[in-house]
Amino acid sequence: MNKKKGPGSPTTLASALILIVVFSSGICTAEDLPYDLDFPLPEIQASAPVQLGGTLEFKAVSRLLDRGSLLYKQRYADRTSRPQDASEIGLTLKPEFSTRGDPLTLYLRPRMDLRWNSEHQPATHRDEPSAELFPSRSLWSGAILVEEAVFSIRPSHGLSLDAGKKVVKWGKGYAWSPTAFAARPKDVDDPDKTREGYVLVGADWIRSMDGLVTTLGLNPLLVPVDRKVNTDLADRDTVLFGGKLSLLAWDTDIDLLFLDGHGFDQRLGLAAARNLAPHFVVHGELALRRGFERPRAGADGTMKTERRDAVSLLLGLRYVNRHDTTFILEYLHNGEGYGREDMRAYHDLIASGAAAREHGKDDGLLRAGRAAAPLYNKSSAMRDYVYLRIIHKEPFNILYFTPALTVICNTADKSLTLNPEVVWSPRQNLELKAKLGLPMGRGRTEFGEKMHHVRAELTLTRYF
Amino acid sequence: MHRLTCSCIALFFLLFAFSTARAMDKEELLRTIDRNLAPETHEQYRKMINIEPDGSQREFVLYTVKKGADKVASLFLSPASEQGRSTLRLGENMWLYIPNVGRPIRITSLQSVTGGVFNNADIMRLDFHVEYDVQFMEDRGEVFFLDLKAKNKTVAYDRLEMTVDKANLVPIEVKCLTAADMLIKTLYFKQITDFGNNIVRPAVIETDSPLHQGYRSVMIFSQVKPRDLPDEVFTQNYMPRLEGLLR
Repeated sequence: MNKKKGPGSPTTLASALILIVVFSSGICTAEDLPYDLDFPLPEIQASAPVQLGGTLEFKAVSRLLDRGSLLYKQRYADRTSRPQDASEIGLTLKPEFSTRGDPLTLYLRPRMDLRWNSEHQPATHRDEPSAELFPSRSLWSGAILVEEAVFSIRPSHGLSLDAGKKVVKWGKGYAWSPTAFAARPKDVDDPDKTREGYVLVGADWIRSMDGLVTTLGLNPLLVPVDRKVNTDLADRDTVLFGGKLSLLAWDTDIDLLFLDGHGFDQRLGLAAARNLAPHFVVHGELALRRGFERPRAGADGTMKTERRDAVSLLLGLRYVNRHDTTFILEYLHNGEGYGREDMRAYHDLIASGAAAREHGKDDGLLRAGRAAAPLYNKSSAMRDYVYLRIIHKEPFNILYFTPALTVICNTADKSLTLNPEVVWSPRQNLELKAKLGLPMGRGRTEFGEKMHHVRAELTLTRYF
Repeated sequence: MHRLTCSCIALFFLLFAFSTARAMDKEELLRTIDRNLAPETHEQYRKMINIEPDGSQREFVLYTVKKGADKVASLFLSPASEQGRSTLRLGENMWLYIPNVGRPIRITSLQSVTGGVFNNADIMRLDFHVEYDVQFMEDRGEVFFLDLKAKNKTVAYDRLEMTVDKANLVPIEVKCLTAADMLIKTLYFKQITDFGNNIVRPAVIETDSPLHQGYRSVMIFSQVKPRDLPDEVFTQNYMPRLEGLLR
């Protein structure tokens, strides 16, 4: 008599039992499987003569334009077609090559930019490209440059001698660093972004000690300036000299800095940082630029230059709470910046120029306003700012996902920009960043007169 | 009466001597555990694996050098997105160097450089006896149980409950707690391995946390060996040059 094999039959139960045992033993084996202790070390540790790494970045930017703003009028007053929006797509390749010799090393980081704009843009390269691509009036632009190319000799652990093009970042500030005398200015919208270095010769000497001063460092620099090299540093051929003396004393980082030379405004600085608690860091910078000449645009289009000593001050803190939320707060008094009245005069100049153009009159005022634009429209052009950045790492247990909110406020004219963003790394070595820029403020204020209502940015970065 | 007074004094000294001996025992045990985990001055490679609830993994490889009681420097060798990042700890001070940023910035012990359950304090851990006092010790057959209290408020975890393997005098499990006894994470020390140079220690530390439900992180140790380096290596200026120590 054949018994029907139902779900409750002994054979089925036995099979199920065997399967459970097999699978559960498999799981146990996997759990107890020893980890491989001889894990392969990356190439950096191997004896490869040249190391290659770098990033490939794709960036798309879209802006909804504010057609009533003064900066919009400055740009489009004499154009027949006045767009409501603008967009831009860019691709940046930044490979890094390095050789590890003893005692000689070489580090090279070139950069290649390729960009498409929805309309022709005037050249907006923030660095000095070695070669410009598509220089004719087209929607395409590009540049090739060397951000860093440094030869280093390291005769001992305490000494390094460097020559070449190098990024030298002095200071302790996050959004701003008024004491970074030998570096190109930071972009407050993206302070971590690397910029091009300067050609220089420098040394880095370190000494560790017992006592109150536990570390002493000296970083002297020589920076040549001529018509082809480091042109934006001084107004004549010269060699600038400067240095940084750094101390770690009383658990506080203290830096004394200076840079001087013919045709260059002497700069002196002091920077310090200290942990007041394990989760609370304070930092500050004080910078003096002697004999600083500042051009000022009058409402009538005239330019006057005033000469004075400019003192800049930065105070900041970084606080991390138990929920892994980081708060970065900074106050900047920019001694080289424009006051409220200066900016109002500049805005009046733009308004007069645009109105004259609308009525078919001479566009001299419009041209005068545009000539002053690189000074007045640049980032942090005024005197007093507050910067707040709140970063919450991995909320709701989402690993490698970081939302952040940045507020940059011009305290003199009470205008601000609100920049929410999210950074997500869906795969190793791949990063996706989405960011909005929302300038806010009344008329005749720095952020109230920005050219756009909203700026949306999407960046995809691949590390290799 | 005189005899009674003498007896009380003798008993007091006996109890004092006994309690001091006990205190020394437990502090010495903690120092022995530290030395069994690694020489005070050494180098090592570590692989950290973050395991997500769906089983997907991300790996980081670090090179670390430590000198004396309070100097630790680490360099990320992979993945490419982290390569060249270095961290430095001098006692309670910590810095992070990111090649893009170009200068060291002060960081806090609670932050996590890599994401996942391990934080900076775990990655740049000092010896236990440097940061903790033994409050209580208990012999539990095959293991010792130690209740450790942070020496000051700057230490990342206020309390540790450590279970120690008696045979090898190395931790088997460490529970990290807040002052209010809330469990932050548990570290499981596994796979005791002979690294040479008389270093026999767990080669794997696994961790999970009720604050990160379903996530696990694993730290695998390799090539732990003594290496003496000058103090200048443990300075902010040297952070961009740590790669030069690799052999």
